[in-house]
This record gives sequence, C-alpha cells and structure tokens, in this order.
Amino acid sequence: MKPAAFDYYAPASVEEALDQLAELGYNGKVLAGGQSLIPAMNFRMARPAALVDLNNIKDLGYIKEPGEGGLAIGTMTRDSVVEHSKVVMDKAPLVVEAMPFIGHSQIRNRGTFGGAIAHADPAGQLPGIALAMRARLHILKKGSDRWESIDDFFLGPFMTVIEPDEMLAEVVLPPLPEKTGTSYKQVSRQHGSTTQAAIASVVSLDDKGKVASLRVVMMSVGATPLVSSAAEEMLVGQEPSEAAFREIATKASETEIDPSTDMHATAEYRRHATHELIIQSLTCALERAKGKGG
Amino acid sequence: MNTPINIKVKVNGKEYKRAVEPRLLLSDFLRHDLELTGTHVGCEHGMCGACTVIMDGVSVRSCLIFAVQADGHEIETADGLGTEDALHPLQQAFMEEHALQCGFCTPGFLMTIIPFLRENPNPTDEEIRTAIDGNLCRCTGYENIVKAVKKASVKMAGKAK
Amino acid sequence: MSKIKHMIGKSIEKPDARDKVTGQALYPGDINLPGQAYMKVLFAERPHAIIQDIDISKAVKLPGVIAVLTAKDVPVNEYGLIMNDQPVLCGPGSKKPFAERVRFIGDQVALIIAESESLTEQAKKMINVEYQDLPVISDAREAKNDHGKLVHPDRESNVFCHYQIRKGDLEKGLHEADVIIEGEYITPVQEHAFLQPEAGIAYIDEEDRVTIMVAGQWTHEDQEQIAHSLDLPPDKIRVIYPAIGGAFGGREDMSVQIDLALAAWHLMKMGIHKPVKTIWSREESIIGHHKRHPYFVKTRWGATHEGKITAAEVELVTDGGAYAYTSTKVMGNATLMCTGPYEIPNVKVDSYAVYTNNIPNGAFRGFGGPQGAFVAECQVNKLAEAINMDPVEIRMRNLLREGSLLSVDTPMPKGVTIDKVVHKCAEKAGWKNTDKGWQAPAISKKNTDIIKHGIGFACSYKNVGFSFGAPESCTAKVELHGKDTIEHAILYHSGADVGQGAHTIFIQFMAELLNLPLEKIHLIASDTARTGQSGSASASRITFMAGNSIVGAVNNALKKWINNERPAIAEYEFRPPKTTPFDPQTGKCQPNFSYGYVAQVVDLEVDTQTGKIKLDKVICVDDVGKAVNPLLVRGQIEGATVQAQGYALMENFIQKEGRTYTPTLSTYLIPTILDIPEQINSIILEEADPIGPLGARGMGEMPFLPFTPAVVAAVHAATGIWFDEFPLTPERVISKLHEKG
Repeated sequence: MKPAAFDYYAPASVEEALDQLAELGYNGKVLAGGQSLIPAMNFRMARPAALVDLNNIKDLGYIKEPGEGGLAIGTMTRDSVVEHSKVVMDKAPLVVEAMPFIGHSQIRNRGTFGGAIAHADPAGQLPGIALAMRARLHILKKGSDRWESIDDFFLGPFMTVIEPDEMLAEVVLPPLPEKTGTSYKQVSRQHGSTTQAAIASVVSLDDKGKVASLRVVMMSVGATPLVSSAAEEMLVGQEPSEAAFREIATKASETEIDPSTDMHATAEYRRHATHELIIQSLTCALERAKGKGG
Repeated sequence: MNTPINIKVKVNGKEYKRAVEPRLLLSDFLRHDLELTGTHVGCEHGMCGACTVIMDGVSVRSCLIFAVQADGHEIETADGLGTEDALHPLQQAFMEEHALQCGFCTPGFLMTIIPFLRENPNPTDEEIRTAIDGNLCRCTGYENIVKAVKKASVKMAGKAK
Repeated sequence: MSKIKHMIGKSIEKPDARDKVTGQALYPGDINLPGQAYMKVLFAERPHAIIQDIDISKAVKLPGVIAVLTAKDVPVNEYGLIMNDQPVLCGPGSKKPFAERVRFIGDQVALIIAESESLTEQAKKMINVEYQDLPVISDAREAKNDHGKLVHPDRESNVFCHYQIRKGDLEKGLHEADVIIEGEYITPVQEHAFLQPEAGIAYIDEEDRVTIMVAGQWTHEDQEQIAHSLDLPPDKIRVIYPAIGGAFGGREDMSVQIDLALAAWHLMKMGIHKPVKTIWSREESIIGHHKRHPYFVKTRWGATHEGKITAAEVELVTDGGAYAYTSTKVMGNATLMCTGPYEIPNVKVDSYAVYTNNIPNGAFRGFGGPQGAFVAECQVNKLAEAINMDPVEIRMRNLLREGSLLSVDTPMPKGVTIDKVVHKCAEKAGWKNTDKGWQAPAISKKNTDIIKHGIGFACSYKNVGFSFGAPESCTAKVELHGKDTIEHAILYHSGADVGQGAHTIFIQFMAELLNLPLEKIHLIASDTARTGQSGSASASRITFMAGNSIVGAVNNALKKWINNERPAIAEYEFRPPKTTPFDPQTGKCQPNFSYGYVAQVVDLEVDTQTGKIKLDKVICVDDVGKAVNPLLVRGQIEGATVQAQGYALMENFIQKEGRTYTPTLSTYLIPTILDIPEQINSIILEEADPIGPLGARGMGEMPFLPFTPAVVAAVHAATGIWFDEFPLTPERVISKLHEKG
C-alpha cells in the first residue's frame, strides 16, 4: 500500500518547527526517524494530515555531558550514533546494550533516540530504557518549554504527555551512582523483531553491598513500560540475593503486569518470560554492580 | 496536499531535479521517476531490506523515507555500483561464492555491506552476520553471503595496500 | 579461448548472476512500457459470502479510470491447475455456477485499470459490493463430515479427493507387533515468502497475441489456463518469464496471470492499446496466493522387539482451502510418503482433501513430502525409543533397498541408495556401527539446569517428477551453427529459472555435450512463442527432465550436423517412464520413476527458561546422483534447510475463522541470518540414477523433508518431550515443559 496524501513541512530550525506545530495543532505530526511512523503510514494505519519533518534541523542531534553528570541527548540523534558512542557506553551502558535488539542497522541509521521514546510503543525498547534510567524530557512549544519526568510521561500505548503543538527536544539521562550495574534482557521470535517481553534493570549498591536503589522496568507486558514496585519494596536497603530476585520475579509477573495475547506472543508466555528475564536481568546487573569495585 | 515539491537529489553521482508529491516513497522515486529499478521492493514496511540504499554514506530503508526527505542528499544504489567491465569486488565475490540465487534481495545486501566494509575493512564472521541481520533472503540460507563478504573484504584490503 | 571439457561437475558461476548483482536484471515489477496503465485487484477480504450486487458506477466515472472488470467480463469464468473450480472474478453475471460466492479472503471481485496506481486505489474505494455473509467453514476435520455446510454447493461433500492404500493385512501386522505406537500429528500452514511480490505486465504483441511478462513456474500451463478463461486458442496467448524473484512452489498456480491477460485483451476490445501493469503489495501476496497444506494425522505403527516394522496405519486429513489448486497431487505424495522410506508389509492409509474457507493450499517445496516425512520419522523414532533401539539401527533394519516394494505394492525404481545416505550421515554425526548395531554418540556437551542438549536423526526420500500418472514431458530445441566445426549453439528451453540455477545447468549440459566453451552457448528461455513445453520448475524435476531433453535434442542435432545441415536444428521431447495413479481400492500404482535420498542429523540446545531452541549443527547428506554444479547443489541444500528451520521453529501462520492475522513480514517471521544454525555441513553423494541425465537426480526439495522430525527428535533427547505439533515456538516449548512439570 502507499501512504495517504499529506502536507509536508521541512523547517530548518527549532523555532520554525515550533511555529509550524503551533499553526497545525491537531493536524500536525512530527516526523523524526520515520522508522515506526512511515510503515504505519504505508499501511494507512496512520494518516496524519501534515508532517513536520525535523530531519533538517542539525541542532537537534547531539550527545552532551552536562555539568551535573549524565548525558543530554538531542531528540534527533540517530540510534546508530548513540549505539556506537563511547561516552554513552561509559555513562549509560544500558542504552548501548539494548541497541542491537532494536530492529536492524538500517533502521538504527535513521531511527532517532527521542523519536522512539516519543513514539511510546509498548513493545519498544527505548521507552523502557529511558524509564529505567529515570530520564527527564525537555518538551518545547512555541513560546514556552517544560521538563517532564519519564515517570509521568507515558499515558498509554503510543500516547504521551506531548501535546499536538509540542515537540520533544532533548532527553536527559541523569548520572548513575558509582556502584551501579545495569542489564537488558529480552525475548523475541526473530532477531530484531517485536519484543515479546523485555526487562531493564538498574541496581546500585551502597558501601556495604546492600541495595541503595534499583529500578526494574518491564516492557511489552502492558499499555506502557512499567516500573516494578515489588522490586523496590523488597530490595532497597536489603542484601541482594537469588532468592530475593525469585520473589520479585514471582510477585512482579503475577501481580504487577497485565499482558495481552497477540500474534507475537500469548499472555501466558509474556508472563513466564517476564518472570525468567527479571531473574536473569537482576542477576546480571548485580554482577556488574559488584564489578565496579563493590 | 498533492502539490508537488521540487527536489534536487544526487543519485549515483548524477544530479536529478524533479517535482514529487510528499507521500512518494524514496523507493518508488528511484524505481519509477528515475527508472533505476535496481532497488527492489519486497514488503514496504521495513522488514525485508530489499530496498536498502545508501544515503549520505549510511545504509537506510528506502521504503521508509519520503523522496522529499532526500532533497539535497546523496543516494547510492546497486545500479551505480561498479560498471559493466569492472564490477565492484563485492559484486564479484557474490557471483563467485554463489551468494545469490533469485537475486531479488541482492541489491539490498550490497548496499548494506558497502558502508559496513567502509567502517570495518577486516570483519569477523560474527560482525558480518550482525551487519546483515536486517536483510532477508529466502533462497540461499545466508552462508554464502557471509563467505562473499569475507572474500570481498580481503580483496579490498589487498587493493588498499 | 580453449575448449572446455567436462563441464558437468563444475561449480561455474551463474550466467544470470552478473545482471542480478548490478541491479540490471528485470523482474516483472521492473518492466515499464510506454503508455502503460495500472491495475489493482479488489479482493473479497471476507471468507465466505454471496455477492448480491457490485456497483461500479461511481468508480468508472472517476477521471483516469479506464475500466473496471467484474465476473461478467470474463468469457469463461473459471480456472485451476487440476480442477477448474475457481472463478477468475467472483460475482454475478458470468456463466460459472456459484461464481457469485466468495470462498476465501483472497478471492478476486474486481479489477480496476487506471492511468496511475493511486487512481486505482481511489477507484477501488468507490466500488460498492453488497455481500450476504455465510457461516465460515474453517476446520477441515469438521468440514470433512459436515455435509450441511458446503464450500462448493455443486458438490455433495467438502471432501474433494480421497485416496486409500491397502497392502497386506493391517490387523495381522499389528498382532505380530510387540509394540504399537499411536500418534496424532498436526503440521502447520507455511507461507512461501519469496522476496518478490507478484507483479507483471500485459500487452498485445506484434502478432496480436495477448502477451504477459510475469514470474511463474510453468509457461505453457499459464498459457493454457489463460487461453481457457479468455476462450482463445493457446497460440493467441504468449507467456514470457523475465527474472523471477523466488518461487518454492508459490508461483505454480495463477495469481496475476489471468488478470493481466484479461485486462490487456479487454482494453484492446475497447479500442485502447495500452499495456497493463500490476504489482502486488506483500499483504496482497500473502492473502492472494496459496500456502503449504496443513495436515491432521492419526496413525498407528507396530514393530517387533527386533526392530522390524510390521504394520502402519495412517489417516490423513488435509485442508485444501477454498479451491483445489494442487491439493490432489500434494496429497498423493503425502499418502505415499507418510509411511516413510521403509519396507512395511502391512499398510493401511486413508487420505482426504477437504474444502474450507481458508486460503487455498497448494505447491510448496516438498509437496506433501515434508508432512508425510514428519509423521513417518516421528513414528520410527518413537518406535525406536519403545524397543530401546538406536534410531539409526531401527532404520537400517527397515529401509527400502533395491527392488523393495513400496506401500503401493510396486518395486522401487532402480538406484535405491537410502541406506548409503543414512550410513554416511550417521557416520559423519558420530554414530558407530558396532557388533551390537548402530550406536549414537554420547552427548559431548554438558547440560546445565537451564540449557539441555540433544541430537536427532531423520531420513527421507523425494520423488522426482509429477507422479501418479500426470502427463509429463519436456521439450528442448537445439541449433548448431558453424562451417566445418560447431562454433556456437543456441538452446531454446521453457524451463523456468526461479533462482535455483536451472538456466546455468542447461548451459552446462550444452557445453559438456557439444564440447564448447560456455560463452559459445546462447540460451533463449521461457517464452511460449519461441520455446516448447517443458513442464513446471517444481517436483525437483527440471535438472532431470530438461537435462534429458537437452541430451536428446543435442543427439538429434548432431545427426543432422553430420548430414551437413547448416545450421543443424533439432527438437526433442523427452518423456520419462510412465507412472500410474492410485488404484481406488488398493492404492496399487507405479507412483514415480525416480527418487532422491536424504538424511539429516540436528544438534541443538533448548533453553528451558525461555523456550528458545538454538541449532548448533546440522549435517545433511544428499544423494543427488550427479552434482551437475556442486555450488548450486549446496545452495539448494542450505536454502532448503533454512526454510525448513523456519517451518520447524519460527513460522507461525495464524488463520482463524478464515481470516489471517499474519499477512505481513512483521507478523509472519522467517529466519534472518542470526536465527540460522551455526553450522550446516552438507555432504553430497553421487550414486548415479540409471535414467537420470548423466546420472543426475532431482534434489531441490529433499533437504527440506527430514529437518523437522530431526529437530523434534533432538528436542525429545534434550527434554524428554515429544512434540506432535509445530512450529516449536518458545510458547509451545514452555507450555509443554510446564505440563511435564
């Protein structure tokens, strides 16, 4: 199939883009990498009346290290650039670890870091990774801007707090504490295809080897990526152990998620995979945390 | 909405000026407007890789880019790779190693591998496999494609010396 | 240029490869003709309904729309490779009884021809079809016995084909057995997923022939079916194949061929001389063309403690889908092969092909063989387990040998080598032939709590050629040019090169027989106006049939050359030994004139946490008779093995109540390079087939056949669980592991 007709705007600057979005309102849609939007348009599942193409705005592609530490990534930074960035590997290895699973190299050459997060695909990797990393998002609109916590960002499948006349400009990944290990695990039926279930874990230890903070994010098992409260309740301030991981996995997979059955996986399998992957992911993250002089 | 937009695209070193509807996909632009049918369409939803071309030096899916987005950019397709008399070493290696059967997926593979070899002139088998995991082939079973890339990389490294 | 001798057995490059690597090769969708119009199909998109009315009045008025064709515009509104049970276009107004019924989502209702593709889409939306929905018949097992709900009301039952085999005395055989293994198996639907979606272009040529350029498998059959539907003599239809983007059986039946011819012909009658082009999307391709038959099998086999199989009883029910396509032939193969390459004295088989409202099923690499092999090999592996015998040892005690009788009570054609193939494969995989019989190697890899290893063995045989009495021939024409010595030669041959390298093989044969270099051979291929009937590129038959036709044509041409005819031109029609159909009572017949033999070992690991199966090593031994081009042979083995891997592990075609939920490549998943086995060791044996050209057997399908049962055996070795259904997706594996506890 071919896409339905639309009006096309290719602003050369952020200001121009915001002007355009303000004018178009509900009729306008941001075109970032297009690797999720354009296939949907080819199937005519998405039929935006107008596209505001951000690909000509060089200012939106960057990876910076802000003064307070961590990373600031411009929304239009290509996934492949993030994937091969040494500073991202250093400051946010969780992101780099997930990258090879995101589609294929050609997709990552075009797909953008911010675009994937704003697209909010429940089965997508970057939304969940951003959630695990406690990202902060800089959202712009003509005449104003705001910062949102990722915790409040996702509203539902493919729905975020970004208004039609707004655009995501930057994703900030706060610095990770020193003794932190991260891990990403997923299952999918074919390499690079839609995830059936995925887990991202961030585990930080204190000087005594107890868990100072952690975040376990479950993906593809609900309308949005989900943070496991069970994980935080059971482990913060505690000694990490395999038994604890198993308890968390059971509680999380049985009570915290509501997976559905579709042509990619059954609800039962998603639940089972979530259980197994939580254990694998936490075990791996812990090893890595310990490895950092823990 | 259907008002054509003027674009200027360099394809295989030659500049083309055309007026295109915004919704025209780059794959269709190359195939129909420019009559460069070497780029093939297998699925139009980014899954098969047959439509892969090189845009500004990186491999991309031409079915997931609008032609208007190629305005001012450089595209390389299989049609422009090598000449009748002097095939690119990768094309030569594909032929020698029987890395194609029906050949429909082949241009997509070539345009994925060319930038890969530019960045990785001496790849391991593992690296080759990861590089081409976004290209589907239903005929060959893939092994010969890996062999062809290996062969080409050796030849190209030899030439570079 | 020196003359090259002994071209056979050389791994020469394919002559078509150069055009393909430069993007110059023209596939049907790449061909553009001046002034061309575009055509799209309005599909039914519902599984079972009666069309009350089709209103095209708004669509035809849209500026730029040239014509909208419906059932009334088709002179003879029916087609089919074996049975003419399918309307070209569904709807009222044609003479075909019940053509107003749509019976599956891919039934075609209207053809829209317009100045541009986007206009065809616009016009399509303006067509109003009034449907009266009918209950959907989706389960073949239910449909078999339900005579109240009929897919084809002109028939008495949904069963459109039944075969039976009665050899010996089943009850006596079961009585003699020490162990009896019962099994119920389900094999799934599989989508071809050739990379090139259907496409083509039609025009009226300089000799007023309705000409189509399309990707297919059998030029003359396409020509015949088009001629039938258009009520024109066949020589008024011309079919040409340009480059073909894969087939695997998926282009054996019509998809766009009749549409294109009808459109060009209709335009001509309107006084409009425009070529008509069509390209299907991937979704249209998946919905619009046939799939691999699913089989529902109940079976019972008996064996003695000494490992002799005494009896086999099999009931096969297959879902033919809405129309027959090649179901009868596929089922013939499955009926024969469901008892495996074994000599079994007492056999009872009943097979039924049933109409449903699912997408029709038809030819796909293996053609009933994989389904039959799955049943046979799983049963033999289970028997081996039951009597505590090695799986290779039990096979050696029962394999067909020279002169053995098949289940259909006739002897095998000469050149039976399955024992050699099994021997070689077992040896290569580490089996030892001890004085206590064959013994499997010990598992070298250690199991952990999570990862379990296993190896599995299976073997099979695959017919070469059409089988069961289907008329079969292959024609070649050769022209020899030169003065005193032959300087160059031209071969005219219809045989389709679907990617397997058929055209390369033809040229190799020519070069060998005429002692000419490859550059001196010119091939004119796949054009009904210039080349004779070759039969389809299917059934592993092209090397065999075309090779023999070329040998004959060259011999005849050489006789003329010696008689000083310049150029020396000769045609030859090769006819293979006759085969016969199943006797309706006993099934006795001479089903095939040649076979290829194959055995495989699969070495894998099962992750019992995620249910994922990782293939470590595959060993495949094929007796190909004579490897005309070893590189091409290996290419077929590797390609078939990866396709079989998709069948066994990943490809999950979901159809419910006649609707498909996997019509795209993002939902129907085929193997990528990261999904394939780490190693595929393919070993080629060359035990000449007595009637093969230079000894060659056909081999394009056979590596597919034993793969799935070998995987199932390996998974059983790893987990203790027998899987009777596949694909072995992680869900299925986890679900069964949980059941086991």
